[in-house]
Amino acid sequence: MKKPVKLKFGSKGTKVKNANSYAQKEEPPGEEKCSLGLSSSLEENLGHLREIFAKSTDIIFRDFTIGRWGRLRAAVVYVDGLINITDVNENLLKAVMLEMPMAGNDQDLTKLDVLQKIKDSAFPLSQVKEATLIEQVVDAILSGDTAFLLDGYSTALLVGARGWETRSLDEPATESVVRGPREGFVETLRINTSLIRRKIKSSDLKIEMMKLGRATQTDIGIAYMENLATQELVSEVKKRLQQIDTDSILESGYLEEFIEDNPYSLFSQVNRTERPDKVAAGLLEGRIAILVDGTPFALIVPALFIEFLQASEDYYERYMISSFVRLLRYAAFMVSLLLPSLYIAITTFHQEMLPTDLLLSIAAQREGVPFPAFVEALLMEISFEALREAGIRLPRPIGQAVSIVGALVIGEASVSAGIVSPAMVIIVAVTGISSFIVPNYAMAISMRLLRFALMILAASLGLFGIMAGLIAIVIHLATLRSFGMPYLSPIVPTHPAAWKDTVIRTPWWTMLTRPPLIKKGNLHRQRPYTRRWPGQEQGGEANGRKNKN
Amino acid sequence: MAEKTRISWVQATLLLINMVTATLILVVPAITTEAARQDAWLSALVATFGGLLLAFIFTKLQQRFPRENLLQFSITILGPVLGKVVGFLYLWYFLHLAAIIIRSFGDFLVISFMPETPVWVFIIIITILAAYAVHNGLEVIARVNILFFALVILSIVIIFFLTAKDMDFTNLTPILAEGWKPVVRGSLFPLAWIGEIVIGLMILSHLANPGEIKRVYLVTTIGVGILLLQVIIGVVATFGPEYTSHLIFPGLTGTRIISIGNFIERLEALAMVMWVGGAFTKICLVYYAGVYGMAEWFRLKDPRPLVGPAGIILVFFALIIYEHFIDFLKFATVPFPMYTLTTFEGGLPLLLLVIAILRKKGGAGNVQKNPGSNDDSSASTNSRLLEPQGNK
Repeated sequence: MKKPVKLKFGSKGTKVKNANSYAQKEEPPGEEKCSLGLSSSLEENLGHLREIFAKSTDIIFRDFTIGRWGRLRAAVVYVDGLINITDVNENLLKAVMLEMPMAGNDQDLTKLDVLQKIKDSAFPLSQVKEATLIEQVVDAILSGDTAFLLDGYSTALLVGARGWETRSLDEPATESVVRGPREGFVETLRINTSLIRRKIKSSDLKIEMMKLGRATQTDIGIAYMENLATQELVSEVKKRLQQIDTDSILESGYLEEFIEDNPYSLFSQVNRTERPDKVAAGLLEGRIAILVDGTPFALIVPALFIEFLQASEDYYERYMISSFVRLLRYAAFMVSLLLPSLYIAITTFHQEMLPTDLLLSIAAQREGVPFPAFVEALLMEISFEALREAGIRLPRPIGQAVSIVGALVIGEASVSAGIVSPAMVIIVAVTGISSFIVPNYAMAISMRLLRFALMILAASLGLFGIMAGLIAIVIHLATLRSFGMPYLSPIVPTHPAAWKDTVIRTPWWTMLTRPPLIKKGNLHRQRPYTRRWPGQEQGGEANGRKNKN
Repeated sequence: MAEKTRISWVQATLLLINMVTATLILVVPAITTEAARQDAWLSALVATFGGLLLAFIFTKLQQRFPRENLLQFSITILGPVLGKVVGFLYLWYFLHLAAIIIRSFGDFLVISFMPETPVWVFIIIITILAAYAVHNGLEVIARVNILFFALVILSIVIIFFLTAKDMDFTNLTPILAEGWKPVVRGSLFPLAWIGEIVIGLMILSHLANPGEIKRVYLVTTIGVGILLLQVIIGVVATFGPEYTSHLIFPGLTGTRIISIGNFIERLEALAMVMWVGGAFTKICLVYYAGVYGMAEWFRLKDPRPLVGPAGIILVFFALIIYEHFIDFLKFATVPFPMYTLTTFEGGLPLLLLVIAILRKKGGAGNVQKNPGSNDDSSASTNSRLLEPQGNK
């Protein structure tokens, strides 16, 4: 279902001064007149605009006259497809062309400050802004505003009647839940901010705007809770964003690479999500969300390692179940990272570690297999990755067919052909399923790459190789920081106070404080005696007390 | 020093415990049992008390100079020339210790797991990993160590409980059949090992709250003592004193005999995790002490350029330090404790302390008790969060 959506002005925000001056220096002189002021002659202004928008067929120029005797010339300029055409026709053109003349005579019109009068009383639209520079007018038109120019005035009115085709709110494809809100972000920034605003109805929620990308002029929203996010963090995020000087920001992934602390790391240090509830939860913990126009993926900083193993549903499902699922996820995480390399190490170097029966059965299966375990595992893992990639990019019905052909037919046939052993098929399948359990795609991908590195280490040095690889990974993780926050906290550096929401999740009524990682203001989330009603008093109180210290 | 590293007392304690324990428990039971027979556990107790004495010296020394490391305060105490000489001696000690531990790390893996792989493979790999950690500084080493410490403790506990059914506590009798002499002789080696907490003098100047120096040393020594006692009792009770003294790595052999339900058996992987995790911490710490000591000695602002060269020296030194592990065991039984205890782990610190008291250098142990008085805020909150009440 498609529906046009009305939009507020989005371009009010902070301009990137450095980038802009830089841009002007580099751009051809022909566009220098962008920074010119508007002249009082309509012809001249329209001439400028026509020149700037030459060969752009989607820019509509409509000039007309207003007033009973048609003495005042005026024009509207807009981009076809970016405006709500009904709004512009009904509330703008009709207002000035038909209704204005009724209100007074031309005498009045020439005497008075007509533009002010039009702005004040003619447009039944809530978003009207004045502009005096051609550059502002051009930016506004390109962002979807309608420019209203009047002869004799060096000021243009920018009317916010935006409306374009958008995708309707949909369930997030990458983060679906069994229980929890089913709405996800869409590609339009304004809708996304409204989704967050609907979750947090507090005046402390601030959404600052900036534009990035010299060509794309992408709107970026920086959302944070003023009473929870530390000023240093906010200014750090802004500082890093402002230093970006590129021609295009087409997805939040661009930003991610520009602002993360260690760009050479395999691990994502910025969390991304399609879910407004996840962004709201992050904001309420004092984090900062970066929304980018044109993509449903919002960024949340700072991000910690453990957060990549948490799903928003953990907080909606009953806490024991969530805790169990989380434990399962950690186990799956280790399995997806280590299982193939452990199999290689044990069957190649440490056969004595297997129980004799199992060893015999594996040896019997591997009887006719021509490859060493490492090559076998590598072959299977690579074909599994290929299958997965094929399944993702193809249209859904074909994708399923590919999976079936790949998983069932090829797997079965290669075993009966004696190319791989059944044990290896099991290993690869279990690894694959485990890697799907990791809720965050970025982390799952890092795991897939590290898995290959560990397989090579295991094939050359056995268990010691795996251990060495793990040591290197752990040192790397301990070194990483996400916006100044140690990546492995709260595990190391140890913050036991934050452990209520790490490997397990304790009930909501025990989480009296926000995670103490980002310290500002009142850390208390709730009173210690939340569960206090007749019959429950004892338990609630006892728990409250216990968890107070 | 230039870097503003701050670690909490828990991190420091776990660093020191893991440094001493993980390597101690694999080698020590055999050497101690050889001297003290069934009374090896008494040797562990004696060693712990000796360790407390050493810890007392180190504590007093560090408390006089809470924000200076060993090389810095030896200059303060003895003056620039003699201080530099002492510093140089300690640099030698760190290098020697690091080389020994790197080599025995490699030897353990070669002897127990991969007899066909040349030892230099392990030496080079572990040195590179340690160099990576040292390059990233003490905070990273401390963080990594907490994870490994959890693994080491878990392994020790699992191994202890899984071998429990094979233990025969009559192996520990008769007590003191030959008097105290063999017991004391057997305690020398573990004592020398515990004495390695002298490395603490290189890291405790980074403690977020200097008032906790005493606590670090006390908890470390007692913690090491308990773990040592538990392992020695476990091993001797399982194998008996005669057999234990002939094993090279009794702790590892202990994991080999585990067999439960014919499925959980031969858990050498656990021993290996324990050894690699613990030895890695130790290598990192001694390497760190060496590199940062060297930087202090040469008055360098940034010690990191020294990491690579020091690593290369360590690799070669580790390769030539002894020919076979048996040689090391012979060296480690009596000469090594005598050599280190009289100088680096006992004699020199005592000398420094006495001279410091006589020359009235440093604050006389009156360190400020309030946390975070002269630290940056993040470190002090860090230490506050790590206070034990959070663990209740």
